[in-house]
Amino acid sequence: MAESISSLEKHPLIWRGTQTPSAMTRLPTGHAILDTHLLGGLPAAGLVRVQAPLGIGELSLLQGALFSGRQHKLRVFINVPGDIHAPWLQHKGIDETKTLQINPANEEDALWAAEQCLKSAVCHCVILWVSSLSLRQARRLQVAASDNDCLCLLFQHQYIESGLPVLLDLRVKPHSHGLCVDILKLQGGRPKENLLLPLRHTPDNSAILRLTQQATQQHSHLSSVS
Amino acid sequence: MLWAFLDFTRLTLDLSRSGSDNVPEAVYDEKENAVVQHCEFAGKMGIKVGMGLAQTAALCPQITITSYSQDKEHGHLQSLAARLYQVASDIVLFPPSALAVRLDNLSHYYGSINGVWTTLSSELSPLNVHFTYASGWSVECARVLAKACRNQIFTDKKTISTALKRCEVAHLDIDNKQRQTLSRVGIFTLDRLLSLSMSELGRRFNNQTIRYLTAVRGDTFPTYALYRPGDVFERDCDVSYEIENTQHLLPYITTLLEDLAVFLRLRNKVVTEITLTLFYREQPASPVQFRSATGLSSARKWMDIVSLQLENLSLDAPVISLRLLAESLQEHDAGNQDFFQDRHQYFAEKQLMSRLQARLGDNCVITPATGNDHRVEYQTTSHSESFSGHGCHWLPAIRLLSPKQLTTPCQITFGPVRLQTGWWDANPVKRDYFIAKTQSGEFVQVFRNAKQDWFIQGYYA
Repeated sequence: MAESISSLEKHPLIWRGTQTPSAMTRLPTGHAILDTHLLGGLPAAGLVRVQAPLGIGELSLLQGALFSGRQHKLRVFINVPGDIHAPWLQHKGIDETKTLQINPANEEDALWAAEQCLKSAVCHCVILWVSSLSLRQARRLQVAASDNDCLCLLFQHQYIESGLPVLLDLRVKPHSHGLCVDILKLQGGRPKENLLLPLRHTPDNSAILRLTQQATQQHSHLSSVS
Repeated sequence: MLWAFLDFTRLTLDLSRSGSDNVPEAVYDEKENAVVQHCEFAGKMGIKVGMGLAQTAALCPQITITSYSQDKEHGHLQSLAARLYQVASDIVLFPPSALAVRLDNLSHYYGSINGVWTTLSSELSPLNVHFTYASGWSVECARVLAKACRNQIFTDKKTISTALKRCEVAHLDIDNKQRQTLSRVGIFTLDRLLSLSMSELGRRFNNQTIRYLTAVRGDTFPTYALYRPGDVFERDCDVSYEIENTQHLLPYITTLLEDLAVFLRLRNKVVTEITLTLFYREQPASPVQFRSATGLSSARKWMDIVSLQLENLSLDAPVISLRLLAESLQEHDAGNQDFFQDRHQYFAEKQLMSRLQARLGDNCVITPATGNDHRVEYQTTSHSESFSGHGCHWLPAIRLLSPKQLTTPCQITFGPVRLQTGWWDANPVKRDYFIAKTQSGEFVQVFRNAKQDWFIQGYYA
């Protein structure tokens, strides 16, 4: 019995709840609450899945991990639902010459391109949008990513429940005060639900509103004097 | 064996162009009194290769004439060969303006012959050089096909032989006397010529021609001296107009320094001193020396030093040409491991690009660059030059390829930003841009056009 347990413990994907997580390099996201629950940030090598609707700030949430560190390596965007907007990259201070956008004709080509990029070992992260992913495909990406020290980030728009072999599975939902993040699976850590992150990733009209409010207050103040 | 032959038809013109398409330009050989190269615009005006200066000027008075120099053309060819040497091994130079690259031994590294060709042509494409090319089983065969402007990479013997048979005697590299001998007996195509037996040909031609013809047929393979890059770095660069301000020299110096950086990185060397020679039209050339305390290789670090020193330099006369010389190469200090990592990276990146382009197509692999335009459609371009200036905080991360109609109710959180521009071309816009939040919590970039229709153009991901 004891022997069979010790052989299980040697397996890299099985760990005890009390065990301290392995010393894997982490890429901090820059959000203190999220980073503590993610054991320091996104894993620097391996497959990470993020389930989020398009346009809630899912890239901006993880920008700290995606765009800082390993500056000489490429950031590759594959099968983007549109075009990555170059001024946005510039605004975030990203070197555009180290950015690549790949628009494959179908999802099969997208997965092929992702695997090639991961295996080339010249990428910091590969960011991939696909609607479905089989267990085998996920396994291939995960092995290619962890072997070549590269982060593969998979974005899916629909919430799909499935036990894919990913290091980290996140679900991001919009919230009135920012974003709500569920950690569904974390290798070496515990799942956690409903992490509220106050995130403002777009400019808003609050400055104008405040000014107009002040102006009306002053105006009413003056009118009361007269 | 499979060789590709590249004949650069207008090398001097391509590498010293001002870049505008609406200026007729031609290269003129003073010794022959003939135009040797001309741009497309000049071609439309009726200028042809071989015309004299008087005829050229009569046809097109506003033409810009550059004088032809064989040494300069050879220098350009050397720099092209140096560039191709990064991705190819066996290169044979045919001065002044042609070279041959062996393809079959490279196909092992790039997957297929077509993969090799994609890599070679993508290496040349940023330079915008015009060339005719073809492949064949020997250098001579490829040369004949390139001369016939086949512009195709043939991979199997059958297609090469059909293409070769269609070529004419005029495409052969033989002298006029022998050409006449052939036309006298009624041979005008290679089909007829190559079907003759060797003993038949031997009666009429000398050994040299026979050797050439057997090489074209692929029966013998003459040996060639392969290109080997030099031990010191020396590169010339012609400027497209006469430069009087040192600031305008910087872009040309940057390209030279980038070439130097690649040269040094491949040899794992650094330099502490580089010499930049400025050539003037009338006055003797003046060398300027730049020194660094520690050995440097990166173009950016050298650029810092060069630009600082150039600020204090005043030019006595307009500069027409530059030469960068780096002689005293030094060993790189092995203490810095990053240097080595980058070198590996450089080639792995190129390999990845060529592999992706080979399967998905050139248009599917893009490096996004910022365009110099306020219209949102034109702000992301796939041009190599990026414009830095906007960095607007209100632009979305993902832009839709074409705007789609706004159908869901949403609440405006930012805006308006009015854009009314583009009067200079056929796509003027008058739009009010807003950031809106849909009921499901997505942030979208919406705009209202002049007809008060609403569209979604991007997502704030």
